[in-house]
Amino acid sequence: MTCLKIIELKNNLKKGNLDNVYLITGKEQVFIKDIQKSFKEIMSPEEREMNFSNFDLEEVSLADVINEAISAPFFGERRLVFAEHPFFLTGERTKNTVEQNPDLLLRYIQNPTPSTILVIFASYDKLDSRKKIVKELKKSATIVDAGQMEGPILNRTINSDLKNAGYQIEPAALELLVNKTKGNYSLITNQLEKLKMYALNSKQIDQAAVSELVPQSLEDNVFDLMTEILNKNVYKAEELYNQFLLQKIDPILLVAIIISQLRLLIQVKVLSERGLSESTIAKSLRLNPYRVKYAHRQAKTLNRPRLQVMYDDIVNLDYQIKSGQGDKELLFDLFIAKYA
Amino acid sequence: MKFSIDRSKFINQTSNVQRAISTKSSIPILTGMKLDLSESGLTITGSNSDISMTSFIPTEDADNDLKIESTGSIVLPSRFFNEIIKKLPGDKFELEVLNNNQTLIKSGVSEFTINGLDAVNYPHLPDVEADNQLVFPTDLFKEVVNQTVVAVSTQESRPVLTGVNFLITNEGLTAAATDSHRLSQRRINITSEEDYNLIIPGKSLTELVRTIGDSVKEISMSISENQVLFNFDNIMFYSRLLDGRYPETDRLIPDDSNTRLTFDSSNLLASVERASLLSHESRNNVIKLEIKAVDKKATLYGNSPEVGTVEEVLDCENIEGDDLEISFNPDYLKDALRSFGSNTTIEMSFTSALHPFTLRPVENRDNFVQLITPVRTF
Repeated sequence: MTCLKIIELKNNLKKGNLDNVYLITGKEQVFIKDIQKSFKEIMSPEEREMNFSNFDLEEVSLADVINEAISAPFFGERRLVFAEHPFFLTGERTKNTVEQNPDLLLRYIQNPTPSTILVIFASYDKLDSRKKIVKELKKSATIVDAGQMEGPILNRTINSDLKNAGYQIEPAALELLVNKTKGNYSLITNQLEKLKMYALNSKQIDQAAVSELVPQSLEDNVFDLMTEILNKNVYKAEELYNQFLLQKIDPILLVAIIISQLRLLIQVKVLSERGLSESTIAKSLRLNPYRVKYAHRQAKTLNRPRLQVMYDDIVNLDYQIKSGQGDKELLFDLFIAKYA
Repeated sequence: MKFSIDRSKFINQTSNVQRAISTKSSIPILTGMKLDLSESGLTITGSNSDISMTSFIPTEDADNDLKIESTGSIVLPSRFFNEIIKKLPGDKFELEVLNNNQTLIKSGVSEFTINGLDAVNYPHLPDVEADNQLVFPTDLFKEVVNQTVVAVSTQESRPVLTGVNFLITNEGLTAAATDSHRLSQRRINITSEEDYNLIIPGKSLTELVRTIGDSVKEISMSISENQVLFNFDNIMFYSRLLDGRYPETDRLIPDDSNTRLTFDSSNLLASVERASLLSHESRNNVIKLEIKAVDKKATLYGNSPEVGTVEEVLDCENIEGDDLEISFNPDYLKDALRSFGSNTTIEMSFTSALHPFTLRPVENRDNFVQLITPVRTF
């Protein structure tokens, strides 16, 4: 099993050290696009026109991909085949996708065509390691991680990107940006374009700019609502709730998000009381480190029994709404009144 | 607008135009058929984003029995309109546009009123000047299309390869198509003052060939910047052209070879069809050809682990060169062989097991070539 960093992969491709099967894991679009570009650059445009193909495995049969891969190059040195969305490598149930026979791929990677480079892009949170095909890929393919960068590396990368463009960002602004984007580098690069325009004259990105210009996700907004409830700010909580209703967001969805967030707070609190570090908690819960960091900070100020009672109540509220025991908007309002 | 016409003559024309109309369109009016009546006759138009077609029924042709009471135009929902006309009881029918684009259709004891659309809103057909016309004998044109269109790509990710490249110079016309697994190229002696290099969508050409009736003697082609117009009988067939630069196919066709086979196209086609009976059941649709030049023997192998194997010694007229084992997709070879027509003597030339091989007719070898990429032999 060969694992490469993106920079190592790019160096290998430049030098012509090519393998026959690559598995690209992770969901960071900026990296994935960069990897795709690097692979395409191993061919001249003329050769690429005839010998490069891209398949979406949610729509195209694996047999077509394999037929492409076993074909000799068409007046060139090699064929380059991209296979995206290999849903059969995960445990996820997928609707409206082509039924695939992973054995075809299994047999191919055990004996790949020397003149073909097959690149499989598995942009998923995790692959199902129990599957034979995943085991074989991990054994035979060259694996490249295009996943999220860890905290310090991400911060360094953002600072470096901005420095190269002639900008600076305040540490507090950087932390807020990373929190709001859940550390998603692709999202961060998109948001930085906007922030750079905003700070065109000063070349300095501050916390106010990030706060004003970078939108929050629905989960973050619900987190704010939950924080106001926990801090007993009834007016602020009601104001946020009314905003959700104006945006036509169903209370059932709010309840579902609060359940998952309360569960996270309780889990983080329990595990940190056992002396586990944030990064260990993130790994054991298979969660984004930024979510854990944020939850840990929040959990410190709260007592566990109150969180657990609130968790039981919101699960009960979920049951009441779904079994039609009252108007869902009113039931959620009563929940706010009880805790705030 | 009001007219009456012979029903079967009208159906003959609408069935052609119907080919250009798609049942689903982002522009709703394009799901309709436009009728445009002038003193000289009736023009029927259908269009989608790729092709447009008009068919003209002249008043002067007595067979049409076209009688005009008042001129005008209307767009009618093609699916219903066609079905209605086909099912009408009489030999003739009368059509009249009433208020608010409502259209009355009468025949015998039957009477329909259907909602039409204002023809003013129907998109204008492209302007293609008829100055630079190329005229083809119909049989030759159909042959060129049928021989090349088999190799166009169905993958929309490579748009230029979904078309046939027509390269026209004062030396002649070269039509070529490839999907990066096979290539077909045909040359004919039709010249032009101006040079043209255009890519016509394969789907458009397939529809065009289906539309050309057996009685048509010749077909003319006019070219504009992004459209091509084909004219025959009273039909005008427009197609958009594909953007982009088509790969130079000439440089892709090998001149030399190390192994050559000569055989009758029909015999080989029958053998390949037998071998592919099993390969289609297999995981990879592949058959293998083994050539023993010294023994003057060529054998075709097909297998499916689930079903069994097939082996057939080919009936070759000649074998020369080096021994070779080569595998390929039988469907590509079948398509290529069919394009030569029956009982044509073909030469098959090979360079190596991993290089594309060619098929050419012995009698017209410089003007037609089919090329196929092999697959790895397991």
